[in-house]
Amino acid sequence: MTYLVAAYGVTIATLVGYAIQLLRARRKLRAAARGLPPTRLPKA
Amino acid sequence: MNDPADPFAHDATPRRSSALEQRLGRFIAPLGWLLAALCVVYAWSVVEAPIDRTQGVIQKILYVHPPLAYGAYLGFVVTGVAGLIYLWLRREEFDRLAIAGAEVGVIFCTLMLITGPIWAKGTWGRYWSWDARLTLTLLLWFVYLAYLLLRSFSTGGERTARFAAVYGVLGVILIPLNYFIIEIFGSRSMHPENLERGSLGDGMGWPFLLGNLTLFVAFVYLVTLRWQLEELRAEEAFRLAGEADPMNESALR
Repeated sequence: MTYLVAAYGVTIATLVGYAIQLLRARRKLRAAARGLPPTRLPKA
Repeated sequence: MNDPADPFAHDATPRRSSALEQRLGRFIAPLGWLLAALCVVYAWSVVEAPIDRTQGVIQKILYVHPPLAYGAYLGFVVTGVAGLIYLWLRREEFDRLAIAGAEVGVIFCTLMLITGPIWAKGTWGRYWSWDARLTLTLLLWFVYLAYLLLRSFSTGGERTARFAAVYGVLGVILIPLNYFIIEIFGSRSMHPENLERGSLGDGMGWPFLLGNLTLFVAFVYLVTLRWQLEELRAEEAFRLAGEADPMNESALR
């Protein structure tokens, strides 16, 4: 069972982590293209 | 400025993205939702799948390891085909697709090289054996890892793209060899035989099919997203080049 959890765990964590990294990079580039900061500014 | 008469002149001027890439970008969000739904069904099918009498629960790694292998092969084929199209048409979007295919292919190949030894430890009693297929898979991984290193260490431009395209096409030769090496080596290979129709036990076909479908959709999603990212980077480089030299930007427009 440990081997099974390890195999699926590594696969899911890697693919999800990679997708999140790509989505974050895309958001930053889109913000840069619009001339905005990459993240939302906190409310005053 | 480049000599327009010389088609092989180095051109470091970043270009705008193509309409093809922009159209593909619209499919990313629906693909993501489809992938999320498929993941739920796939997880349920793996949990519900019967436990193999010989190998026990570890056999369920079969529902993720071969689909990862097919995804890796597909990624490298995308790199090779996109490289060929780039060499033929000289359109930069295909060079960017080649990069996306190689990166996602290397990730799938890495996961295949992790999940395989985990299964082997539970079944053979050791993580690795210098079996023909395992060795060739490792070689394939190194070939495309070197491709990514080549792309990351170079400054870009047409010369790099051309060299990378040729390299990516040549690397694809290893894929059929890797697949059929078990037939070539016969009983001397430790790796299980390639799956054939009816070779899975009762109730094991559906989770295997769903595993292939889910990881195929994950592959398409990641390649499209990565391709779009390259497109946005090219646009950003174009914008920065225009800011640095406004006359150049107006000329390009």
